[in-house]
Amino acid sequence: MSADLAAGSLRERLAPLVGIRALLPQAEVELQRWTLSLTDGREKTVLRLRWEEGRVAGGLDGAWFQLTPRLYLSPVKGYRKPLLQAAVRLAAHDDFQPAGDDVLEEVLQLLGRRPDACSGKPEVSLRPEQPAGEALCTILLQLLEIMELNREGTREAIDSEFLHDFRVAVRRTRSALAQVKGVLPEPVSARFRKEFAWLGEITGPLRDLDVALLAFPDYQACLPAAQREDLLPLRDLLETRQREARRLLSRRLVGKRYRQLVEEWHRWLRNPEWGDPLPPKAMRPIAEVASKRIAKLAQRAFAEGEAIAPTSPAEALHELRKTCKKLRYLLEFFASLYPGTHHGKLVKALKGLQDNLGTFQDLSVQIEEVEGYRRELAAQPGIPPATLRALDNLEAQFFERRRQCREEFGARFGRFAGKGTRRQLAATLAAGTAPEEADR
Amino acid sequence: MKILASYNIKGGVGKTATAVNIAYLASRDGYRVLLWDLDPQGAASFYFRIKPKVKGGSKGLLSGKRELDELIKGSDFPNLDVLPADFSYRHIDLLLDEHKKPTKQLRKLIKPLAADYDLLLFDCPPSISLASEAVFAAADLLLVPVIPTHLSQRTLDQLREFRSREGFDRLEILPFCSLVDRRKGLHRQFLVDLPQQYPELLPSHIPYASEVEQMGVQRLPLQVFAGHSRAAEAFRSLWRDVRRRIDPGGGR
Repeated sequence: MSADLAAGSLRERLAPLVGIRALLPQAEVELQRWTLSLTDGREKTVLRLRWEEGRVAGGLDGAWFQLTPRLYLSPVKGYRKPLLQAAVRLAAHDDFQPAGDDVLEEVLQLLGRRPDACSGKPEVSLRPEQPAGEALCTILLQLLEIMELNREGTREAIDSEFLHDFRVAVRRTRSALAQVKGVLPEPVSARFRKEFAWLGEITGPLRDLDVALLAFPDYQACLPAAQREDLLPLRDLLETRQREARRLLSRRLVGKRYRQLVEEWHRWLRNPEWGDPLPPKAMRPIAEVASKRIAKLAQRAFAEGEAIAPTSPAEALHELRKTCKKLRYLLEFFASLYPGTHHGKLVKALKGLQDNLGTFQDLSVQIEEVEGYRRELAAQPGIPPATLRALDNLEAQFFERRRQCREEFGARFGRFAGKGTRRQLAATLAAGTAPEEADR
Repeated sequence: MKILASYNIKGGVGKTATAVNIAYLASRDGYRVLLWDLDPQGAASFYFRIKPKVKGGSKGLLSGKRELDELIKGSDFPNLDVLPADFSYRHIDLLLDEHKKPTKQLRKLIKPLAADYDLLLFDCPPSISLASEAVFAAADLLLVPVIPTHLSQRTLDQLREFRSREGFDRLEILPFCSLVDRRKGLHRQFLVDLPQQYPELLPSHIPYASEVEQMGVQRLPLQVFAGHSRAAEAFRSLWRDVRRRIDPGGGR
């Protein structure tokens, strides 16, 4: 977190960008710097030069990588000519060339790191005519990489986002395997669907605790000022649980089952064995497979949503939420197949609905959890009645919020299922037509 | 942006040394400072090793056709820039007179500088003229170095009178004793008497010191080459007095 930095203007400017993410040191650099002044006939400094050379701590064997020596020219206000003259002379000199990158970029490159290496979203560029099997393997491989990139951060609980990104990669993998059927050999797909389901299960409890603890100040804010302190025994309970969950997960992520899963999955994706006969859709153009699937899920979402009445049970909304999520993942996997603006607009419309459904789901979960915590705390000796009252109040607040959320559903879904979205859907799919199909 | 001017109708009283050293000390305290050398002699520019030349001369400057920013030079010190003198400044009065409200011209011209500077310091030529009036109209504060003798009293009275007559009510006049020679009985006497007559006189005074004359040889602010000297300490004390006036909250 930005709390890793000392207070000051740097921290102020970074805080909104950093949020809850931890700041991780990336490199150790040693630099030597010589500062030189160029003076004129009056011995006035008209240009400042800075020569920097050094090295960056390298790999595990303690080696250092030498950095390219750099010469920086710093102009003095009002003295442009000396700067330009120096630049021209240096450019003409054989030993110097203009720097193509800055020292930070050079350091990262030497260490094989990219600034955005921890991103959660896979970015795959697919060709519409690419065989579906090949395309899917590319996507799944990237998801596996993302998972592995976040593994250590998850194990060490550096911040909550590592686990979150890890779980998202797992979820996307499961979705890809389940939604794009007939592309991978069924035994392979079934085997890994099971393993990834296991991963989802073992990471769930810790994530729930992380979320509850991150939300704890908001829970307190729900309650009147006098009651806020009464909630603290809940936090103690959550923190104890979190410690235990972290320990457990950390062990599992270095355990045999996880290691085997990663090794085998990696091996298979790099060198898929399609089997004989081939899975029915493995060689179909990915654009065809993707578009068919997206169209089907979209229709399902429309149908499920339309069937929801104000009196429908919560499960109906949870189902729709799951459908929307599957649709969203598909749209994201195959974004590169749908050029133009329609794809983005479609995703935006879907997101509007997903926000409402997501909030509804979160609140439902929170209600259940608070009920559970209340039961637990009530059974513990020494918990003041005020705490239990505070929890009751909290639950009541959640109920109220969920009711409001439910009320908004109708309008949100209406916007999603309207003509505009259907047009975007059609236009998106049209933009993704594979060349041979376009010719038909 | 606070606007100060180092001013006295008489020459040789320490105006430029004051302007240069106060500008330097302010920049060291984190103020973004612009020193404008208005004296065609160009002494302040000389101390900063900057050529006393302004592209387009005073004509171009006053016409507003040239952005002041283009004419400003960075000194060798951080946070301290200089708008150099130019020999054509000797004609500044004539040029100012061509405008409808001659004394308001300068004030208008310096407005955009507020974005880049916290402190603007004029080093004024020794005279009383349209240009001086323009500075009075633009400035918040006049720093007036005076040698502790009878004649200084006349100068200060004249200045007070001039201010009230011309209506420069906003202008604060801050005299202080300069070139003080404690060996002279007259100086010692006036150091005691002057504050009684002029309560606005700043408590710090600058001694006559060869180090200050050395500035012309070293071409550096006093603090840089003789930081431990009495004179340097005196300027630091003077700066503290001035700073209290421009930044009562304590700011930086």
